[in-house]
Amino acid sequence: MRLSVKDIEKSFASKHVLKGVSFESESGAALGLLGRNGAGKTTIIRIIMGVFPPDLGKIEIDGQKVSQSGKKFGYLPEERGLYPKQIVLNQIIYVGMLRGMNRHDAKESALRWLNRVGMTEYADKKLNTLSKGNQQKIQLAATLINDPDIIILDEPFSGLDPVNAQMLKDIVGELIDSNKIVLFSSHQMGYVEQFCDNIAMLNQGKIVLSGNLKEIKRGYDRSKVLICADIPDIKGKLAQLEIGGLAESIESKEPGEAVIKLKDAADKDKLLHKLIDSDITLDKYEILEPTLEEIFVEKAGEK
Amino acid sequence: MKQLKTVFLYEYGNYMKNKVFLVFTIVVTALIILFLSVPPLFSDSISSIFGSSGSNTTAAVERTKSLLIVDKAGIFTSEEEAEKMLPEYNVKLQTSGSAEDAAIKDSINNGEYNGAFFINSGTDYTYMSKSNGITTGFDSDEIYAAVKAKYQLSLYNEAGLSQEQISALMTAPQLTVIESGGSDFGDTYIYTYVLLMVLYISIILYGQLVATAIATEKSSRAMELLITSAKPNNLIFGKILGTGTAGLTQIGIWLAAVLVFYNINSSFWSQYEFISRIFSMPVDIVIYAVIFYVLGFFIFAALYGALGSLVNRVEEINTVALPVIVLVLVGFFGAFTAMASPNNLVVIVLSYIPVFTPFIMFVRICVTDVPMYGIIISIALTAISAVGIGMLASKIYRLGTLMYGQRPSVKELAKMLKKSKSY
Repeated sequence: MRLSVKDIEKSFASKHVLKGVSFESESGAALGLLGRNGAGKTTIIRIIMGVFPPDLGKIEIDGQKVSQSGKKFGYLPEERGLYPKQIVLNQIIYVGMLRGMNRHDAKESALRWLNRVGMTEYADKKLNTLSKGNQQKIQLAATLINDPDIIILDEPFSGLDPVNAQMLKDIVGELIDSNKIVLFSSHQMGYVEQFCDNIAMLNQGKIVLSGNLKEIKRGYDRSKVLICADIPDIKGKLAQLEIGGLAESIESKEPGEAVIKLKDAADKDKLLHKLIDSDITLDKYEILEPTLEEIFVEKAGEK
Repeated sequence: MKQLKTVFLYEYGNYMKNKVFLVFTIVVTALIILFLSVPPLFSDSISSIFGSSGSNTTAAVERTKSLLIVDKAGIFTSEEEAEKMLPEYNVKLQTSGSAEDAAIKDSINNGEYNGAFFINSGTDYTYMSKSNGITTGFDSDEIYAAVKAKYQLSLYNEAGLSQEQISALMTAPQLTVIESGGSDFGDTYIYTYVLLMVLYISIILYGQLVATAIATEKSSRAMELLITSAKPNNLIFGKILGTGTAGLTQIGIWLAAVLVFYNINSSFWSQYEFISRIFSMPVDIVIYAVIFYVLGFFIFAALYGALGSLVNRVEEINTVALPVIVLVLVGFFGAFTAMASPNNLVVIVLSYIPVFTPFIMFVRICVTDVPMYGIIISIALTAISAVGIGMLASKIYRLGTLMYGQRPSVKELAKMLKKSKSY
């Protein structure tokens, strides 16, 4: 299954929100949809889900219109959306029935998902009596109740403690393994790096970066090497070695750590040999890749 | 259709489970039962307000008021004779005194007597009472009628007329007014007024519920999930139908309580013409009332729904609801004009404008002869515009998900609606 977003344009009143957005997502891999606040993430999600139409462009699933594909969506909105004063189980069943399930199946599935997220004991409580993290898990159960083919998670980790975050990670992992399309929108780059093989980064209504995350990272400068060793004045020690020909600069911000910028990224093996031949006992030798966060700040910070 | 049914049942079920809604229904029902079933408790005030037409036939009327009759003309021979004609009064009869008498004034002011009736001569009476609000007029009328009858009777007796002649003279001729254009005005006026009030109150009440429900959905962001799970049309129409049916259920329960307990106590209530006239409304009027209730509710609920989609918080509804309330009021007061002159050109025109039809056409049907094709056209127009406004409301509802923060101006809204037309 392949979800294609093609040249989407959308404006509201006088605001041009999306200016030709295209990306693709395949089943079995999560796509991280990144962007700053107001970049158009929620708008593109709503267009994918058919809440409103794009001005131009199209959304296709395996070459078909979304409405004709018969594929089911599950959406976890960023703004938590359920009735605060109503019973948890009833609401989840209601959502399931709105998405076309009959009452019996909806109830069965709701109970199964409540059990999966460990919320069975809250089934007949009112939603607003639950903590934020627990409400979040209820929301997740509602999102997944109808066994959707395409799952869109908007900031799923906000408000979850590490244990619950781990549970959500497990669930998302299972969804990916069972060949669902998972779209993942978040500001927390750490989570995106863990889950998403692919990313699409929106800035000012345009895709500024998209593709396989590993390949994107490889495209970045790989000439910086991090070295850790149990030597307080590591910079001084390195200076004694004859690596001047290879290194452009040596910086040490922490004792025992130094970053060497190579003149040529291809010299990293030569540097490693020199270090092994020296009397330094290496704890760590790492080619520094930019983190997604750094890439994000670089790309999305551009005006 | 299945989705619409799901939304409808969920919304309806929520009202049926809502404690406030249930308590309100039960309390009002209890009040209705109480009011209709404990007539002796209220009999005094009711009879003085509505005027009883056959008080001496019932044991429920007691002598609760006291009256001083100063009879200088010698019309009454004893207090018992006067009390026979004034079943609600304990009568004290005396032959001297005047309205300037301080002792008499005091006895009224301190509550010893409810009033004093001075018979200065057979044709000159004065009635004095402490200001008693609206009931004073009814009291004086009643006593006046009794004294006048007694005086006339004594004149006829003096003239030597036979019992048959006297009773023929004393029996008031009965007048029945038949208007060729409708039924009796008195009856019509009363039940039309009552139905109009019910229509007005329920449209405001249940319309507001729709607006509140949608605004709540928006402020709790439940809308975010709903709108991605169901079609906005189904959500809006399901909500309107659910609320409307809940309203009908509530009114139905109240009406059933009224009917059942009115009939149980009908022997008491039938003596009050005002009340019995309400229950004399013809079946076709009841059917029209239901049709116009449903249409009126639907059209205004759709408008309220659109408004609810425009605001971010429940508290903001009142600030945007003004135009709708103005429409309801124009319809409501237009209906009063229609009661007086149902065939006035302006009234006729207004009765075909969908938002006013439920009030004005309904009143015209009650008080005059509206041709059947006119009724059908107006109902059709209202039904079509109700659906149209409902669709518009669902568009605004969908757009409303985007509009957190600043409320859009009418111009912006029109622009956005135009753009979303193709969808």
